[in-house]
Amino acid sequence: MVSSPTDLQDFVQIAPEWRELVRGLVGQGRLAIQEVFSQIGAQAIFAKALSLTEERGRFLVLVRDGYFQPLLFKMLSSNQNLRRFWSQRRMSAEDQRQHAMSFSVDLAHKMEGVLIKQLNLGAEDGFKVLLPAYIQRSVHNAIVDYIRQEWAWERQTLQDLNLDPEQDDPRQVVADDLRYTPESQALSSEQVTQLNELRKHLVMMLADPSFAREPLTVLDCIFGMGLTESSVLGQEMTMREVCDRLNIPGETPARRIARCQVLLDKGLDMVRQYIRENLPGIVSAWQGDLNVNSASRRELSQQLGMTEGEVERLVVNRQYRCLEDLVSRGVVKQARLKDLKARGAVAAFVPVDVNSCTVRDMVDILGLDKQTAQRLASERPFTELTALVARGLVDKQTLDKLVGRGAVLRVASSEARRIDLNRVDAGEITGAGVPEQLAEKIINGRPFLTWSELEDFLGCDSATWAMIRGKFCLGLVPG
Amino acid sequence: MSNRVEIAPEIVRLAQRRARSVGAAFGLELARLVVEESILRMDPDEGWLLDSGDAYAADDAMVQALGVNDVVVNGCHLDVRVLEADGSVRIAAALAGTSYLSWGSVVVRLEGGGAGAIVGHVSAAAWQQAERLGGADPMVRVQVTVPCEADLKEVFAGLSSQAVPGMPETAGKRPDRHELAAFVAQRQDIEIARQREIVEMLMNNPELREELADVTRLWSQGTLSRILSAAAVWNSRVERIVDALTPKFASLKREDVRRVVLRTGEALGGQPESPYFRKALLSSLAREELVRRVKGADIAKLALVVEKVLSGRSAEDTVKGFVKNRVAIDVALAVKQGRSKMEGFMAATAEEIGAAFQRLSLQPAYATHSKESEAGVESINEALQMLEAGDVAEQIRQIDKELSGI
Repeated sequence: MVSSPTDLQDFVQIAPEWRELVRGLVGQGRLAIQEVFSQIGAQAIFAKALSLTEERGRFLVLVRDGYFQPLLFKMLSSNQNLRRFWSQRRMSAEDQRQHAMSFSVDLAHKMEGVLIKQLNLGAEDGFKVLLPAYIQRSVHNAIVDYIRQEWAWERQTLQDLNLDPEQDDPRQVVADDLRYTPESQALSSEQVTQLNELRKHLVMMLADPSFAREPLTVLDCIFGMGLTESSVLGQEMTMREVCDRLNIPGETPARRIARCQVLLDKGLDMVRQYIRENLPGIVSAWQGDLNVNSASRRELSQQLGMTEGEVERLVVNRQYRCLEDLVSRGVVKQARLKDLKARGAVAAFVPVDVNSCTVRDMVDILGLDKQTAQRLASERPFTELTALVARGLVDKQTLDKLVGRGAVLRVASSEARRIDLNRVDAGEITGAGVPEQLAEKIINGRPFLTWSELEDFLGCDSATWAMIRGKFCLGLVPG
Repeated sequence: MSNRVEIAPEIVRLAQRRARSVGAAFGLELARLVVEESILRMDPDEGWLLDSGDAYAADDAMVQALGVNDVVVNGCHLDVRVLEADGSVRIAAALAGTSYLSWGSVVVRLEGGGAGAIVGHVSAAAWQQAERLGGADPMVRVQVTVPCEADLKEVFAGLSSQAVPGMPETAGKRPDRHELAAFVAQRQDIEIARQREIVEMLMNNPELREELADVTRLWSQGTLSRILSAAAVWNSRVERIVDALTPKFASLKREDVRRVVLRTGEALGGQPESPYFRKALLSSLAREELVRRVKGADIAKLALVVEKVLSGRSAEDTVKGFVKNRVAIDVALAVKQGRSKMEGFMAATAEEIGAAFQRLSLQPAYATHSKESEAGVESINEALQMLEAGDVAEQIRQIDKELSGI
């Protein structure tokens, strides 16, 4: 960071005793006032500020903008928690930089306030607020608060289903991996082809005595693939559940879980090695990550580099069974397909639950106009799709079109009769028998995608865990 | 003072998400947070500064490929390990004896899902010694004696005075993409000395780390976990459809239905809620059913009838589009009305045709003596088969509704 000559002049004017130091640094081509402050050190800066009367305000502004802010910006930019939080929300590198900059400016003002307080108190150890280690702690606290607030806001926003079509769907930006959850996982034809092969190979591995069976059985149970009698198809088990199911030996629960982890790692290694040799193409089917059937307009233009016209044609002609449909329906030319694939485009049909989707989904995926979509959203819920016609919301022809484009009404499963841990309030959770402290923890950590995640997060005793598993479900579609 | 620190739930959740997406061990992520939190809580006068952006653990590929888990404190890369239930800590053998462990490992005992304490330190020399004794084991273990909590000041102050053990020079050949892929997916096939050479090169060469990132995207545990999760989802969807459809197709075995479902998924993706999926699946099943139930008929024609009925036309109208002889259709309809459902696709007997003619008040000669080839018994039977196919299709239309809820 390069400071303006005026800052340095101001500094020298207020603190002439450091003129030589500044001159020396400038001579070395180091023009940042932050360098000057770093060389001077926290105690000297604090003492100088204490000694000033009329000039203190000007000096503190220099400290704020020339010391706190650049240091805070550096710490915020390299903070992994913050970067992860922003990255999970698909924020571009440039946006992250700009957010970090404005965050650092806010924090610098706060730090200035703390410094002023210490100066007014005249405390001996008041200089500590200028120590990088103190600032580092403040940054950490500020980040935790920021993430907490953002998360709370997102949780509230998740309940809002009547999003304007211009808005991004918070379910997409809150957690990148929500789309990997069972109920919303869209599988392309290419992926299904590979999965069918994988199943055959896994069955063969299980039948082949040259492969250790135990690690594969643990793997089967953990992922719920239903290949052995021990696993339950479509239901992921936690480590603890696998230990119980397979009677994994161990003196303590922790040791049993540790043994289970070792078996799982071994199973994963075995499968990875096997599929690398026998199904080398499988991983390429998992490299694409932007489904053209559900991507927002912004994602289509930014991530896939589509022109405005291409985006418009794509949205109008949704949904696509495969990427080649984009060509046959005149959305893009054949020559563009390779580039789209390279940028991570996939086409997998997305069922759109009319009872829980956003207005944006109705407009951009189902092709409704905004007014009809909003009217339809206000009339929810529906028990069957024909009710849309019966209530005069759409005509039969439009309903057929909606169904063709993926409109569905999800039938409530037996899981739905359980309490949705990702949605209910603390009262309902404690009412079901969960201790208050645990309920609060659950609410702070939501949403949970898998039971394993929740178990790791809570780390509660077996009895409480069994109760939670029995009474709750992890619903992931808001509504 | 207790070393125990608690991590904010939101930060724990971020760590969980990261562990899930890159296939890292959640315990290691949590342990690193515990160390970071512990450093942040130390007296600012001590001057311990973290730079998490410089840590190898900030690099997803390094975490996925090697399980690195370091914090950077005042410029030193300090590895972090979780104390296991048997009182040991472990690390990939590829890392032992490399400069990654120059500053040793901080040992963390985890408590529950969001707390832990630093309980010890394993020096680089201790790792090297364990590695020499470990033989060919891909993981090196060190038994940690934890009588009480470690003195944090001592652990960290030891860093600044610690003499860094000499590490081997890395003058080996730069790994190509193929070797990097083997390094990620089948490390045990590479000699341990070569593994360490690659580790050293990775730590010193950001471009090589970029290449590693490309490779790990393909073969990482995160990708594998996503594939296996998807396999469970798809298997589950398949079995639900098979359960629902097998009783509806009397001539098809469970395996036949499953085969058609799998094939449909390969053509149209894995969403049974898709109308394209349902239509294609049911048409294929109807065709399979017809093949088994109707011997010697034109299956292609019958399949067309099914398709048209599935598109919304009535069975009778559809058959009229195929069979020009209206009388044959009327006779077939009359035969069909006189039949029980069980008889299905059997050809009409002379008695049935006779009875139908009587009901329609027609002269048998009209049909049997006609010069038109379609006007004979064959036409009646063909129309009869088509009407039965239409019936199958109409039943399927009902099934389609049920299937949309799966």
